[in-house]
Amino acid sequence: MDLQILIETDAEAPAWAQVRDQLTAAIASGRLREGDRLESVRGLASALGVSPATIVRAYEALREDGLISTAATARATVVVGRWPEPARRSWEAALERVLAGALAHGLDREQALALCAAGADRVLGARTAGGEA
Amino acid sequence: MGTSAALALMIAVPAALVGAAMIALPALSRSTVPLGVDVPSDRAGDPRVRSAVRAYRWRCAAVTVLFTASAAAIPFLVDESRPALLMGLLIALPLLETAALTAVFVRSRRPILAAKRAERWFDGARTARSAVAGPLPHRVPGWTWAAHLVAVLLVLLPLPVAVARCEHLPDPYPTHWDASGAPDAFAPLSAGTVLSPVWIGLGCVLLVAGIGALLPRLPMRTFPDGDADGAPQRARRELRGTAGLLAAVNAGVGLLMCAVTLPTLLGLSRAQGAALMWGGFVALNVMVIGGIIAVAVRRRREPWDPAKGEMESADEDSRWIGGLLYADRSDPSVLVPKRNGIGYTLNLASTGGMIATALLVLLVAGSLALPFLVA
Repeated sequence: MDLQILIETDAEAPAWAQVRDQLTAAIASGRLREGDRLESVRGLASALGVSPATIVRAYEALREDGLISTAATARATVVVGRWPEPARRSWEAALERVLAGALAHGLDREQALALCAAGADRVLGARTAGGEA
Repeated sequence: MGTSAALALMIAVPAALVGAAMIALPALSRSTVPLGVDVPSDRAGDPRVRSAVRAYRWRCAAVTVLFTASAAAIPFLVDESRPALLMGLLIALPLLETAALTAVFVRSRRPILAAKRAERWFDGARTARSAVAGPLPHRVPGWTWAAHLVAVLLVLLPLPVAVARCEHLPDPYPTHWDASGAPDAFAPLSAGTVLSPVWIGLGCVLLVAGIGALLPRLPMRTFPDGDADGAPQRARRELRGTAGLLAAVNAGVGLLMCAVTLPTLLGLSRAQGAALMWGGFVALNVMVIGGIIAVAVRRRREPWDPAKGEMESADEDSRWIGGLLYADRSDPSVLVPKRNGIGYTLNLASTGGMIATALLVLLVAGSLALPFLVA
């Protein structure tokens, strides 16, 4: 199955964040695996019709999250199992904010966890489909 | 066949074909860019869109009939003893027809633009830019490589013929022929004189084959058009269609170059040589037309399942000049998918695009000026 990146023009998230999030989802679902090489910055920027700076920023964010490694002359490579502590703390803080939003709307603990579980199931379900593809 | 009649045929047939291609253009383009205007998928069948496309086709037909008839009238209007005037018409008529058809296109899209702006067709629509993120190179049909190879072999076919018949070749050797197949320029017999058409032809087919090799390596832009999941598959089919058409054209060019070079080498009569050259010319046109029809048929059969509320392609009218020329400084691409028809077009605002355009303009201007400079 093709890995398609979509940058929604009127989304709240900036373009670089959308690219980062979709590549993260691709790694989580197994469509991108350990050792897979990402498209070059210029190649992906040309494909999407965006400035190379957008892709550079997305790749920087993925590198800080520990999901890709970049060498000076090679294309970025997917890495799995390395989660730098600052990135992990940042993710945990974001998760708390998301859960606080759900709880503030009157959901109890079990309902909020059920929503989290459903989201994880969707990602893992995509992993199953992506792994088979 | 007299020179004027042959010349009229040479202008009239391409004029008719160019007009026919422009009439068919909407069928060769995505349904969501009628006459080069971005519309949401649920507006592709809007009555005003259909009406504008219909009007465009009728206007194109009128222009095509006018220029084809003008070309056919040349033998009755221009004396054969005025070659400079004939040459001027050969150059001017296609340019005028192209300008007229372009004007028709730009004029015909205005009602769609007006309706889109007045009713804000993209309001509330989710739009996106999208692309397949690799891996490269993408796949193209294997037969396209065979067609490029056939083109090279056809161009090189005169080589062994020239070697085998070197002692029978005329001196001086004809280097140019008029439209009726009669030689009208000569040069002293030499390997360079005899083989220069072969090297020129080889350069042409290798250039086209090189473009064919480049195609699978270009970044693959996709267009959601209300059916984002199907966009990569549609983009891959587009790539295969473009690669196939390019290969078919290259094979036709190889055939034509072979047909132009062989008659003199084989010592054929003027009538036989003219028949062979015209046969090559017809074969090339058949390849082009057949390829275009094949792509149009494939596009019509393409599964496209747009649904309201699904992701649409971004409204990129501002990136296109008159719906025909692409110019966007923020886009690093040199080549982008054509909005109308098949293949790719240059990003005129990119550095590479500007250089390529300048070279193309020089090439075309030089080709047009060459007959006058030589004369």
